[in-house]
This record gives sequence, C-alpha cells and structure tokens, in this order.
Amino acid sequence: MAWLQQMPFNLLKRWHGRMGILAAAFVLLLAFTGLCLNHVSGWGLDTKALRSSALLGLYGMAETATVVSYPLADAYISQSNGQLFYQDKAIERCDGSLVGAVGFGSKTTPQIVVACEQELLLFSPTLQLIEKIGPIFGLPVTVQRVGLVDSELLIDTSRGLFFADLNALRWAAVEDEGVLSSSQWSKTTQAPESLSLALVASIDSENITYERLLLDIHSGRILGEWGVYLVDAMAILFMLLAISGLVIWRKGRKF
Amino acid sequence: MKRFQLACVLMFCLLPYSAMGKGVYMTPETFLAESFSPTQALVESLWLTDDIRDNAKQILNHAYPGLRIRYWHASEAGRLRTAWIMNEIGKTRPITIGISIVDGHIERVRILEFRESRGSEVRMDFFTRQFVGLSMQLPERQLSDNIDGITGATLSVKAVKKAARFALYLHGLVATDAL
Repeated sequence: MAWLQQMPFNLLKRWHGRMGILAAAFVLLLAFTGLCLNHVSGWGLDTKALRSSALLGLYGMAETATVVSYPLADAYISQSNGQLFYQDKAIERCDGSLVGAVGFGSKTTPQIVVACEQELLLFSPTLQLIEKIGPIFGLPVTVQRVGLVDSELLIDTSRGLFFADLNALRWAAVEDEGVLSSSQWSKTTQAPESLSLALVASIDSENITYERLLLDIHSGRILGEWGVYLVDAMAILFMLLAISGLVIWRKGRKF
Repeated sequence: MKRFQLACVLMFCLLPYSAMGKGVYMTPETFLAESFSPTQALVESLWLTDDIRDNAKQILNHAYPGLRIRYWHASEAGRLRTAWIMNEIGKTRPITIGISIVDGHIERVRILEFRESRGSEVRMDFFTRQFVGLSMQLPERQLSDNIDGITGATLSVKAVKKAARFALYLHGLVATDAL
C-alpha cells in the first residue's frame, strides 16, 4: 500500500471521503442485517414467514393471499402459492394456476385429474400421485379448463379442445364442437371459510423465513451471483477505507 | 468528482443484469434430441411397484412422488439407450435434471431447469461431465466413482447425484425387462 502513502494528502482525503459515502449505505445495511442475524431465534425471525409479495417474488414465489378452489365430490381441491391441497392437506405442487379437477375413468380403474395451466396431475382414488403430465408428453398448453364428456376427459386449451387419454398420452383434437353441449366443466367455487383459513395457516409454515431473507441480503445472494461480487467489492472498499484512514491519521500527525 | 459519479452510476447499472442462478437452461425437447438424434425415441412408462418404491426411497432419501414414471428409449446395434427427466429438490425447490444412459453407463447429465437462488453451478459442464461413463455399483447402489462437490452448492450436488443413481437403477430395471 505504498502508493497510498505517496498520494498527496488532500487527494487521499478526498478519495477517502468519496469511498466513505459509497460505503455508508452498505455499512448500515450489513450492520443492520448482521445485528438481526445475531438475534434470529430470540426475535423469532427463524420461524416467521415472509408475506410480502414483492419479497416472495425474489424467490420466485407468488403472493400467498389467493386461494383458488374446485369441488371434487364432497371435498375441495385448492391451490395457493403453487401448492395444491386436498381439503387442508398439502398434496403436490403444480406448474401454473389451478384450472379444474375431475374424477374420471371406469368403475374398476377410477382416477382423478387435477389440471393446472402447464401440467395435468393424475391421481389414484386415494389421492396418491400417479404422475405429472406436461408439454413434454404432448400436453397442449395453456390448459384453460377441464371437463368430462361421457366419462371421457376433455381439456380446453389455448390451442383448442382436445380429448385426452392420459394413460396412452394421446391428445385428439375435437372436430365436432357439438360435444360441448354435453360437456361438464369443472368450475371454481368458494371453499368454506374455515378451509381457506386453514390453508393460509399451513402455507405460512412452509414459506421462506426472515432468517433466510436476512442471510441472502447479508451475503448479497438475494441478487444472485453478481450480488455476491457486489458484497465482495464492498468488502474490498471497507479494507481500502480502513487503510486510507490509517494513512491519513499518520500523515495528519506529521503536520 | 465526475469520475466518482460515473463509477457509482456504472456500478448500479450492473445490478439489473445480475446473473440469477435460476432459469431454464435447456428444454426437454433439446435434451432428448441431443440424446437420441438421429434415431427416434419411444416414450414408455414404468410402474413403480412396492419393491421399486422401497429402493427409490433408499436412493433418494425420500419417497418418489409418483406411482409411474415415463422414460424415453431406443435400441441401436443391441445397445439400449434410455433417457430420464426428473425433478429432485436441492434445498427447497426442484431441479429438473435430464440423464441419458447407454448400457448401464451414464452418457450425459444436463440441468434443464434450476429454480433456487444458489447452487446453480451444478449446471456447468465441469461438474456434469464427471458423471459421464459412471455406472451403478452394487449392492450399495452407489455411483462407480466419486463426484467432486462444489463449495456453496452442496445440496444441489447431492440432488444431482441422487437423480443419477436413481436413473441408473431404473435403467437397470428396464434393461432387465428388455432381455
């Protein structure tokens, strides 16, 4: 750091001040997050879930507030935050918004299909997931609604209407739209309030905690790979500040 | 002072371009085309019996979420090639991993989609090429060679290794059935 000592005193002071201004906001941010991290358990930040949609958006998670439900026999299939529920029991996650749920198939091999915009989830009658079927298996997307015509599965997509055979992975375009007159579409409905409240409570326990958010801000990872480099750059800046501060102090004593 | 202001503006301009680790790195169609071209792959399903599900649980450290798994296959000069696309959770979100296997040896591993904010280094070639040529070591059902980890991506590395072991196990089942 000899070059720092050789710098003219006024120039050194000027750059020390500029670096200080640049670092100030980061010092405050790092000090604040560091302070909170030291007390995460005491302040309950390790269990408290994030609710802000803007912050959840950073983690690719949508707002938690909306619960969409479709009736299935005497129960409800619901979705919130990408998570699917059968009544208040979390079953699976699915890609896209929930657009319907129907039971279909023969009496000997009944199955349940839960339709989301980008994939269909096939379940056994006991709600055991059989498989997820997405565009890679030929599913025409975006799925907009799902229904039945004489026990046959019908999906309405942005590419048209299709009869779906989920076991053989066959998608037959509906040429005669007359079938629509006998179709029964799965329709969204308002789930009982007690169920909606139970869903919100269970979603809370699975969400990202404030501890995770604080850690990611402190390390810069909230901004991805470049965020880490940014914090690295700040660390180097703090070192330069400390050294230039010492040099200024030493030079100042000589005057 | 102008140089200082310019430096500040440049630094903050970089922020919107921050390379978030999450993203789609390869579509399944591209992965399958890469694995099977110029032959045409057939899609088939494998029902997971209780035995298979028990073994899957041992390999993945959790139950496989499904009773049936689809895979792609083609035979060429007596060699069975299969491709598997599966989701395995790193820390909190699933990583979509494509694995192709020829005659019990991994041919390629590709990260198709990464959804978490850290650990995306597993998508890089220096990591995935370690899997090429590996097979399943019995009876422990471990990979036949060590895979070097990546600091800061431990859970993602584990997820890819588990998916590779599971794909090798499933390939073994399919190959036995095909005999």
